Amino acid sequence: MTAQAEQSSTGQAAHRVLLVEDDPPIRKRLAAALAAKGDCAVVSAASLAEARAWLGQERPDLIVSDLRLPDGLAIDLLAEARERYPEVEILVISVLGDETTILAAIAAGASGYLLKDALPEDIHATAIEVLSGGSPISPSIARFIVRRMRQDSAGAAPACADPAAPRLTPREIDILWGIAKGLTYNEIAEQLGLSRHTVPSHIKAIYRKLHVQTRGEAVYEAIQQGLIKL
Amino acid sequence: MSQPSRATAPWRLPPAAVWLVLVLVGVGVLSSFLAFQEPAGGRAIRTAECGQIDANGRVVVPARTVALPYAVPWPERHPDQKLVCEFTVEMAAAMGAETALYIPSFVDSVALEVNGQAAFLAERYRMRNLRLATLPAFAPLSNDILRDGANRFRLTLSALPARSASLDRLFIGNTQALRTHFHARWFMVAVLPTLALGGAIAFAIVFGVIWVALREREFGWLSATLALGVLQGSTLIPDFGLGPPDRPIWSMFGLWEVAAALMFCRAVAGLPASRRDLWWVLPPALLTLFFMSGLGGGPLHRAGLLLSMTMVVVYMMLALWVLARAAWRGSEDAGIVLLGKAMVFIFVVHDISIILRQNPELIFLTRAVYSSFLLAVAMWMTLRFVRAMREVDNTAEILRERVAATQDELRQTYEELRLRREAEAVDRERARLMRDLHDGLGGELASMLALADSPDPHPQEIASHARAALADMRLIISSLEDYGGDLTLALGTWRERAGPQVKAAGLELVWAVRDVPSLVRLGPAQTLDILRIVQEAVTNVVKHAHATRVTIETFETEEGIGLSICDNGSGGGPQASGNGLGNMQMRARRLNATLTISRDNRGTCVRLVLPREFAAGS
Repeated sequence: MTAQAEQSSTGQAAHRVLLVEDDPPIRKRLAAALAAKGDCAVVSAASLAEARAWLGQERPDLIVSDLRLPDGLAIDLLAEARERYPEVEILVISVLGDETTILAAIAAGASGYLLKDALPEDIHATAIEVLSGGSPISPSIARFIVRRMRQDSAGAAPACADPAAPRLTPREIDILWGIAKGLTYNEIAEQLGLSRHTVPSHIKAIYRKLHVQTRGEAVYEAIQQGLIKL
Repeated sequence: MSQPSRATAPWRLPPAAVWLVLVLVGVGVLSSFLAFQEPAGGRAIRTAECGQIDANGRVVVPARTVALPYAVPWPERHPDQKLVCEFTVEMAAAMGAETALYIPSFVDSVALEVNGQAAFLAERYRMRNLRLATLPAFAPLSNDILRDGANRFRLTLSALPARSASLDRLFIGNTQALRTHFHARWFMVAVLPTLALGGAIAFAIVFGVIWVALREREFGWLSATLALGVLQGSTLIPDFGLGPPDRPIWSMFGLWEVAAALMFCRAVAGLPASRRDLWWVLPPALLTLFFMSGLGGGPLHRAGLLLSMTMVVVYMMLALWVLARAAWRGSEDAGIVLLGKAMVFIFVVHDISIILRQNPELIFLTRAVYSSFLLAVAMWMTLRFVRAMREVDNTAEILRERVAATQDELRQTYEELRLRREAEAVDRERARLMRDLHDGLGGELASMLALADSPDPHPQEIASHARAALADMRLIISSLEDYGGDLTLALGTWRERAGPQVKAAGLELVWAVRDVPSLVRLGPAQTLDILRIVQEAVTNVVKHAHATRVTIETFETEEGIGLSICDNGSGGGPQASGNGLGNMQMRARRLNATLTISRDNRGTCVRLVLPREFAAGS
């Protein structure tokens, strides 16, 4: 086992987190932020090989991974992990949160992404939210989805390669619009007349459908084949 | 279709013309040769004793010795009278087995008696009053009739009204040898004209169809000429009882035909069609009416016939003149038709002279030559049609090539234009990015460097500048995305980036962003300017306002789409960072928007009213 474990001080952490990031200062910063409250046991890996070796033996609750690592793209690794441990949650680390990264993250089955410079409290809060069953969806992701649907309905080249892929319900689309416009879950619930607890479950459903759809996308293929650089 | 351009073309005779003349001369010479040739090995009867009897057998003109061929002269002619010619031939018994009498031509029926026994009766085909036609007769003589020594032959001829009974030379000899001549002559005067008429019918139909399709006069008139020619002389078409034998109704189609041929020649010569052309119809119409009315009896009839023949000659000469003039001016087509027409004219004059001079040889050549002429012209016209078709094809090909070339040129020009526009757009975008980077990122990075290099570095300040630099970079990246003109989506992205910072500063962010109509031509530059104004305003609140809450709101006014950033602070100031305010005003001007800052004891409000439509190309 080459991965170096940075166990939390208490040793009775509720969540096991695999952090895959090759830049040491950022790795340390993220690991510190995640472990700060003592409810996460963080294992760090600096390469795909290390991460794969660790995953071969243990089951994490959450994987926080950079997409580009010295020994390749993490997309396949994340997909493997998803397949092996269907319950695992994934967050992707991004510097800029740009569209390509978001698409790659969705394709890899991630539930969201973390900005590298996010405040430590926010990093931890995002991780806990994912772990507790919520799937935070960022305005960028929401905008990406609704815009793509608008293109679909406008008759532009269908982005969805698989016609059997599940379609979003009108309610889910409303929620996505709200998120894209920067509204919080509470604000959305208020605007749509929903209970604030139902919004996260809707969002989880959106993610599941999205993951299936995105797998068939040309852009995803292009990323896999290295035509689009991350 | 003698185009004006043809007039300047050098005179040249295409092979078709030579071919045409050769065919005409060939037909003329061949038919003359066959028609004039006397059978060798036969006994020619060159004289006979001829007289005239009336219907009751009474002698009207007593018999006298005349030279064959003989035709009843005009003054002696009478409808009911018959011409009776007799002669005696000495024959040896041996020759009787295969003996025949061959009559090259006669008018209009002939009955033969040998030694007082009826031997043979021949009648010309009477269905039409075929004036310009001669037929031969051939009578094998059996041994029952002939006898050794002198044999008396008696030929009784009768003519149709208004015609002269006539008899060509006679030949008696070996059946086989004479039959060959008979067949040759039959082919020339019966078979060949019939074949030519069949061809003429076919060509008339073909050219009629071409005329209907193309509306070119030449084809129409040629079709009419051919059709009228067929009507005039055809044994192929029954006369439906329309032509009484004593009236040359069907022959009148000859005049119509010549008139149509004149129109054809005018068209070939390139003379314009006009209403006055109708006058050409008048003479044939009047003459036809004259004969149909049956007025013409005796001298009047003869005058009518003479007039008809004169008109034929006149029309033909007119056609020749028209063609000659056009040929002189360089029309190749007219030259070709002129040659053929001239040949035909010679034969027409020849045939008319036979009729007028009562020439009993009755060798009419016009029919054969004229049919050949028409067929030759028809073939030549077909060739011309095919050639024209090919030219059309070529023209289409050339046009296609030109269009393709022009298209290429246009495409190239368009491509150049597009490249230049693209280059300009890239230049503009590059300039904008440089400016944006310089405005935000550059400054922050420079500050970071200065702080890090100072003898007493301030990590917190460096971190704050780094965070600002990163935030600005994300702002630039966000601005590059496509929001489809939706301002709320762009603001949503901003909230995602800047929300945590606002929260970290201890401020409550009230998000009163409502749906507003799409902004037309909201591009990256506009988005960045708007987001920077928001960012700047919020930064001011964070830094100077001592507020606890900041509200971002969108609204619609009469002037356009509004956006406000209000705080509940002390109204401390933008003036403290005057540079920031100046930047905001500058960006608002660039957006063609109005920016107002209002301040009171409840706080500060920055209001930006954007136009509904941004200028193109900015």
